Amino acid sequence: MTDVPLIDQLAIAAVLSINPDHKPGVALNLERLLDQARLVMAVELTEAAEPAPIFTP
Amino acid sequence: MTECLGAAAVAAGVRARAFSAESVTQAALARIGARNPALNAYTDVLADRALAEARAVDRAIADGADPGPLAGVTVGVKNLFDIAGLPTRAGSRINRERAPAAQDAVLIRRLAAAGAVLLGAQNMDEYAYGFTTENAHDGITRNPHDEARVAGGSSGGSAAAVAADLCHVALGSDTNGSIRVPASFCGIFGLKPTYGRLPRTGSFPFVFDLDHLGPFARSAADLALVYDVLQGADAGDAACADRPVEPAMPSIGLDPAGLRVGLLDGWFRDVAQDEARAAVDAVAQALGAVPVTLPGAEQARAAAFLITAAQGANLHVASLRGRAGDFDPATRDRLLAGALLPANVVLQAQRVRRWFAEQAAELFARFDILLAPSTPCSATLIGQQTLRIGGADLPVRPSLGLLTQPLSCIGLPVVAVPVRRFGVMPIGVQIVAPPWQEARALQVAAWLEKLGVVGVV
Repeated sequence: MTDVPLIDQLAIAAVLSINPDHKPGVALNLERLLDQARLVMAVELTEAAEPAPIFTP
Repeated sequence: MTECLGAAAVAAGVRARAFSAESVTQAALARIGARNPALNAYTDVLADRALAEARAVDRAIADGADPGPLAGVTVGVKNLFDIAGLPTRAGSRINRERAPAAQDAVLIRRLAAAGAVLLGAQNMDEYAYGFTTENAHDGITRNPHDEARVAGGSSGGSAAAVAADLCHVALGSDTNGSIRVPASFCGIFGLKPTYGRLPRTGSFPFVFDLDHLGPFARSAADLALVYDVLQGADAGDAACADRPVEPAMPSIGLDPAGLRVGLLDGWFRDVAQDEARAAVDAVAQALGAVPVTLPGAEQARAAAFLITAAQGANLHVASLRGRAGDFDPATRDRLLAGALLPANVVLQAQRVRRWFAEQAAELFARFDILLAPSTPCSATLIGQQTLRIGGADLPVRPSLGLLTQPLSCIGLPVVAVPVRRFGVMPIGVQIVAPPWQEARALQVAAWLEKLGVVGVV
């Protein structure tokens, strides 16, 4: 484990530097996203549920 | 003279030489001059270009040519559409540094080829990420029915302009509800076609998987008239389907008796306030709808919310790294949060779309049309931060799309119709059809208008 806050760990992984003044707003929105993430992660999907890409070679 | 005439009536009058396209355009420009300073619906008014286009229409008629079904009809477009000679700002400060567009977006060219006259570009939420058109760079678009309230978003300038008769029709975009929400708040008609129906070539993107373009109008027939002109494949948009034009106008005026209509319950009632429920109930009663459940709507809304954040963030990641301070703070914080989402979550959200599309397909085996409110409530106050829904206070900006997001998440065609109410703010209802059945939804919308259940007040 690390003492680095989650938002900073994720920013490192995403190769982003977040201005400290912006962090409260980003954290609030991340919290909202993670609430929604819990909803979709709880859906039981079959292997037939493909991720619906539209890329055309 | 032509104030509040619909698009079809204007085109008929211009073609019959009852009045000129130039006079129609002059009148529209005068209305913009009078009302736009307060409403802030337009960010760019292109008077010289509009008058030149109108005179060209008049010359064509004088020469015996047919200028097209939209002869002299005035249009405005959300400022994420390319307009030759203007940088496509998409509601942002950053994009103003882009080179001017070399040519108009495909859909603008199709309108022009049908005789329409472009009046200008219209205000929106920055990068289409919002539902209120409270833009930090270009100012707030105010609701024509009550200037203390928002017009909705993100195509708020376009909806407000049509509602205030500052153009006959307008083009907007809808990723999560950005046509349907402002149509509801401003009391007009809006069409979000099937995903892939209309080409996005020459428009600034937001979320490739969810972006749709579509029209606003003051009647269902005008919506169909414009939609028919806009249809057709285009190789410039990989997601645009190679389908033939399927005209909606022949269905307008036909009795939809026999259609099986379902009134969506569950999520679609739980997150609606009483006035939204009353609005959809009025439409349901007129159509003899029966209650029906679409399983997974809440999860689909969540999927749309997550995909939007992640794809939107990725689109702007270079700017988020180098010049985060140039964004509207509300947009910036949402995009930065989206950039931090784990891939596993985003991929699961994409797969949930497929699962939810199958739930909808099963329902459409039993129903021809589904109904839901367009918004949880009528227009909120400018600056309002929270919204009371289901006993909880939710943030306004992301929550106004609670009822639209599940449907655009799987690309279903929807016509947003304004329920006729007097002495109160407008509110809309979604008429939802199976994929590629826009004509059916427009037929139902026009019939409801004929019955007096819906319509511009």
